[in-house]
Amino acid sequence: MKILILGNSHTAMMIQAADDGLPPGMDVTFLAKPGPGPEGLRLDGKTLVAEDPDLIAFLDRTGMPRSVDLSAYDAVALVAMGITVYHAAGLVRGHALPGWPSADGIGALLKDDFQPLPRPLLSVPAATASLHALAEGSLSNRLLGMVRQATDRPVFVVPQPYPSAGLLTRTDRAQALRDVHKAGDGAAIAALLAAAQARAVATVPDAHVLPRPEASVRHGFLTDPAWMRGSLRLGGATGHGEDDVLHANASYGRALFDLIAQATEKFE
Amino acid sequence: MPYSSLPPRAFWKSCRSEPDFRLREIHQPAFPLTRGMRVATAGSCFAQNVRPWLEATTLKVLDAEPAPAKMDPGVARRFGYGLFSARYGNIYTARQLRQLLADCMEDRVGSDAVWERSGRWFDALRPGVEPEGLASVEEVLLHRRDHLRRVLNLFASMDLFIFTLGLTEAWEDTETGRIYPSAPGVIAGQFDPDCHRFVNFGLSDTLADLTAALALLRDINPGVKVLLTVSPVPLTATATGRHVLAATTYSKSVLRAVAGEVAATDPDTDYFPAYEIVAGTPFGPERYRANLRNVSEAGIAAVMGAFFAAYSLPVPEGRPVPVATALPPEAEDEADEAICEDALLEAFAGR
Repeated sequence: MKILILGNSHTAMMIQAADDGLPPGMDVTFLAKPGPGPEGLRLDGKTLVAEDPDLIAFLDRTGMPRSVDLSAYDAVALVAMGITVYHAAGLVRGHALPGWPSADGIGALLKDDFQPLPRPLLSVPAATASLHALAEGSLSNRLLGMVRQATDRPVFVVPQPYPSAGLLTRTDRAQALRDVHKAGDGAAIAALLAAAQARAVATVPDAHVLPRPEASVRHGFLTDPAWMRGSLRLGGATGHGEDDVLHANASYGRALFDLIAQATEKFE
Repeated sequence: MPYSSLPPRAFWKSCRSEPDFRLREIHQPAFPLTRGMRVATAGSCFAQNVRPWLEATTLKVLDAEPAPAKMDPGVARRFGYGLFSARYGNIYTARQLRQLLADCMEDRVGSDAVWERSGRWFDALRPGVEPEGLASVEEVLLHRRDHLRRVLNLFASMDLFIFTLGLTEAWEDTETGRIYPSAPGVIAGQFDPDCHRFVNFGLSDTLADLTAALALLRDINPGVKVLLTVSPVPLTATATGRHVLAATTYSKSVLRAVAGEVAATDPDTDYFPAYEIVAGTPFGPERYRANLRNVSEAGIAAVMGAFFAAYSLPVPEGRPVPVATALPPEAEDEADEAICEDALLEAFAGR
C-alpha cells in the first residue's frame, strides 16, 4: 500500500510516526512545506511537480522529492492546509447561534422593551456556508482537485489537529477559543467545522475527511496536551517547544496511519 | 410665452444635442444631502446597486444587521447581508413596506408566515435571506423578532431613507392579508389556491400604501427625509396573464406616478429619476445587460453619476466616470446579478 502524503508543518507528526514504524505493508512518501503548505506545485500529466524555488529548496534540504507520480500511489492524504477551529471561532465570535448551548433560552432575552438581542444572531447554515467557501479556496482543496485530475484512488483529507487544551490556562492568545469553551460550545463548533469540511469534499468522488483520533479530543474541540507534547518541526529534529499549542506528536501521527489503514481496507 | 424662460433641460431638442442628454441637470433636489447624513436603503433588487456607491461617499450608510466580520463576502450576499441596510430582503411593493413598518411597531411575528421545504423552515416575508432554511419554526420566529427590532432601531436612527419601488404584483394570504415577496412554492412553502391570491396593486392602492407607510415611518422618526426611486428592472414574469412587456409598463407607470404624487405633496419626500436614466428612450438598450432586464454597470454608473451631480457629492474614487457609454452586452458578466426572488420565476418560462 503506497501512500502519498502532502501537507504543511502538521505533516511532521506523521513523519515522526513513520520514523518509529508504519502499519504492516504501508509505504509512504512525504511532500510537505511549513507555513501554508507546498504552494507552487504544478500538475504535469499525472505528475505533481514543484515549481516554486523556495519549495524546491526546502524539498531538497529535507530529502523530499521534487516531483511525484500520482498514478503510482494507492491513496493520497492531504494534511491540514484547510480550515481550522480558529477560523470557525473567529467567524462566530460575538454572535449567538440558535441551537448552540450558548444560545439556549435566548428568546427570553427579547423582552417587551422592543430591544434586539445583545448578540446578533447567526444561523448555523450561514456559518457553515461561509466556512465551506473558505475551505473550497484552501490549498487542501486545490491540491485535492489536482490529485483527482490525475488519479481515481482514494484521497484522505486529514484536518489540522485541534489546538491544545493547554491554551485554556493561558491568557496570551486564542481568547476566542477560551470563550467558546466557557460558553459550552466546544462540541457545537467542532460539528460546524466538520460540516463545512465534509461539504468541501462532498462533490469529489472517493474523497474522505478523516476524523481526529477520538482519544485525543478534549472538551469537544481541543486536543489533549499529551498528544502534542514532544512534537517536532517539519524538516528537522528540533521540537516545537513548550509554548506550541498547534502541533501534534508521533502518537497522533500513528493514530492517523491506523485510521488510513482502516479506511483503505474499507474502500478496497 | 411661458416656455421662453425655461432652461435648456426642459426641451427635448437641447437635451438630445448633449452626449449625456443633460443628465447632470435631471434632478433638482428638494433637500440637500449633507456630510455624515445617516442613510438607510431598502426596496427591490435594483436598490442593491445603490448601497456600494453610497458607501464610498461622505454619507454614512447604516447597516442594522452587518455580516460577521470574517464571513465570506459571497456567502454574506447570498444570506442577505450587505444588500440593504438590514436583512429584510427585497421589498418590492409599497404594501410590503407598509407591512414591515407595522410589524416593527407592533413587534408582530407569527407562525402563519413561516414556510417549509424539505424539513427546513423559511421566513415567508423574506424567504431569500436564509436560503437553506432554519431548523424550526421557533428559530424562524426568533430571527424575525430580532430582525424587526433591529429594523425599528434603524428606522428611528436614520436621517434619510432611500426606497426603491419595484413591483405592483404580489401574492397575498387570503386569511391574514399578508403580502409575500415571492409566490408560495417558489423558494419554499406550497401554493394553495384556497389560501393564496394574486394581487396587482393599482394606482389608488399603491398611493394609499405608500402614504400609509411614510406616515408610519414618521411616527417612528418624525424628521426623516425620504428619497424614492423606481426600479428600471422589468418584470421577470407577470401573473396577470398579459404580455410581460405590457405588464411591466403598467407596473412601472403606477409606481412612477405614485412616487411623483407623493414627492409633489410631501416636502420631506423627493423622487430621484433612476428609472428614467436607465429606461429612458435616449439611452437605448445600452443601459441593460444582454437579457435587456438586468441593468448594466454603465447604467448604474449613469444613475449614480446623475445622483452625485444633483447633490454635489464628489464621485467616489475608483468608480467609473458616469458618462453615456456602455459596455458591449456580450462582454458583461451575467453571473454578477442582484439577489432577487422574482428572478427565480424565470425557471418557469417555457415549461
